[in-house]
Amino acid sequence: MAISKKGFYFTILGILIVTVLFVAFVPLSGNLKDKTPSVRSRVTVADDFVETLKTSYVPMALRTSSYNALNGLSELAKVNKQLFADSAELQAIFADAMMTGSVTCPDGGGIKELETCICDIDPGCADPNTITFMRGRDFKSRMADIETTAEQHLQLTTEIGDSSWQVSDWNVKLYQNSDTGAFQAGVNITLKFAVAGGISRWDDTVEIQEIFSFEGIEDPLYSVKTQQPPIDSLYTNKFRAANLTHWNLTNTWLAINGQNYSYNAKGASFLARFTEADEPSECCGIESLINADAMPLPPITEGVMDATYSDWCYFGSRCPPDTDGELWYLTCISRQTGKFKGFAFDTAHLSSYNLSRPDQEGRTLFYQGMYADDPNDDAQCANMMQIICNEAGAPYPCS
Amino acid sequence: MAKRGQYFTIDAFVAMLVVATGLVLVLALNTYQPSTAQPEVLSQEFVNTLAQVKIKEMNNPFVAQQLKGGNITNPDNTLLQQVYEYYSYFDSFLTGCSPSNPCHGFDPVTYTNMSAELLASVAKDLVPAQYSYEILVDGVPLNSRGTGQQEAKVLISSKRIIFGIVNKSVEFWGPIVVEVRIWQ
Repeated sequence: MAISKKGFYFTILGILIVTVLFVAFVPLSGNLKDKTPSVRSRVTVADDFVETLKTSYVPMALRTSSYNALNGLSELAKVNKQLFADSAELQAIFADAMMTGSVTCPDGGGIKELETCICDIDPGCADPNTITFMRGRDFKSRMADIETTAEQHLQLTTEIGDSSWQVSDWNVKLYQNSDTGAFQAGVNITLKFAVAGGISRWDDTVEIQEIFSFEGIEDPLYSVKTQQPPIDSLYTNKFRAANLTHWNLTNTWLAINGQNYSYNAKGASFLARFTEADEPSECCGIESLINADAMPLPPITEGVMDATYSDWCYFGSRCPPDTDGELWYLTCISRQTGKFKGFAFDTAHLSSYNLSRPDQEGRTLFYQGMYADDPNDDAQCANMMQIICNEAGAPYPCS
Repeated sequence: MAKRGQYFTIDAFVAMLVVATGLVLVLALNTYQPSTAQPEVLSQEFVNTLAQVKIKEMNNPFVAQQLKGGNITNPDNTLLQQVYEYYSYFDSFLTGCSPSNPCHGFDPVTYTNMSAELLASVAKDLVPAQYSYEILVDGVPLNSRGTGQQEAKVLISSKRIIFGIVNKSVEFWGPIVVEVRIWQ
């Protein structure tokens, strides 16, 4: 009996020792300390992605989608030969175009892709696939791209916006103000997103604001108004900011020749030019000068001046001479033999372009009557315009 | 006899337990988990550097030459953005052209490997010599150093999403995935 009890106790002891050794030396998995580096890495990747999304990807996508939408709307106004009624209509159609690439087409055909709408209106367009403004470039497509890429390559489930949201829920606002200046536009959007990375999740709603240049977009004021009487012939002018820091006779010639845009508080802003609402803009008014050599203007009668050759004056009705009959030819520019024969300024423009007073040599820079009444002869003009003698189409050769 | 049988049966189970425990201990001792801390940090920092450093911030002879030659039009591009622009607007654009008939005015011998050359000029100094690496852009390996990727005991991969704009505000490219693999 004593022997069987000893055996029993030794057996139990053996089992206990084996169990202790087993528990002590078998490597355990699922230890939190072992998991910490990979968890930290996952969270870092997800955090970097969220930051990149908010600060870089969305603003960049907003900028390109907005630029392309504005470009497309300029083309739409051109083929439709009509500006948008007012700012509200512009905002609505811009939001649709920028967000989805589709608009309520002015031809009454309902909601269409912008390219299809343009092609349906334009008799010269056979296939909408030959033009691209918003196809594949709209904001929602960009968001869908980043959602897919994040899911496939970073294993992050991303949802941008809300599946129930309409375009209006994104609060898209296109604007120009003192922050953008005259040569840029701004766009605001409300962005709601959720990013889930398994162990972590981000939910946020932020306001994204982006300012962009509209350089290279056709001015709808030219596109639409030149197709109306009395010109009745399409002429387009792409927006380019003038690189001129001060005004004088030669820089005025350069501005006419280049048809670039400069700031003028009495002019309409670039966004206002998409609408029939022709109003001055203190912060963002612009103007370009009418180039009679490039544009198909009606015949000009010498001595008869009936418009100021500033675009918003020429195409609008806000700019009568401050006194009846007070329009002026420019010396050396509005000449019989000149490219810009018939060019005229009102008194206000003479002043803003520094042409209302005699120059440093005491020469008068404006006149009325016939071209022969120019106070400066060819020799004097050649001397006054020497600085631009190397420009293409310069009025006088270099001496 | 019955009691003896019980004891012998219990002993057999105990013996099996001891043998099994011994085997587990022997096998567990042979298990080796290599350290991944340094390659992991290196991989992350490498891809972050490529994704954040801008062309204008670089002091590199190849980059300076490209800036001077006008092949880099936007010095605010990051390295990876510039690599992708080279890849899509030079390398693939000129595929199929011959040295005797340069395409679009660009000599294909000079211009069909721009993305790889840019990576080669900057990446080699960012990774310590004892590590090998490979850089893939949109799934295409553009630059690498070292061999033995398949046999490596530790291979760390880091990914970044890149995107950009060309032609001012008109053309948006991306999102593209860049992957960096580091091994030793």
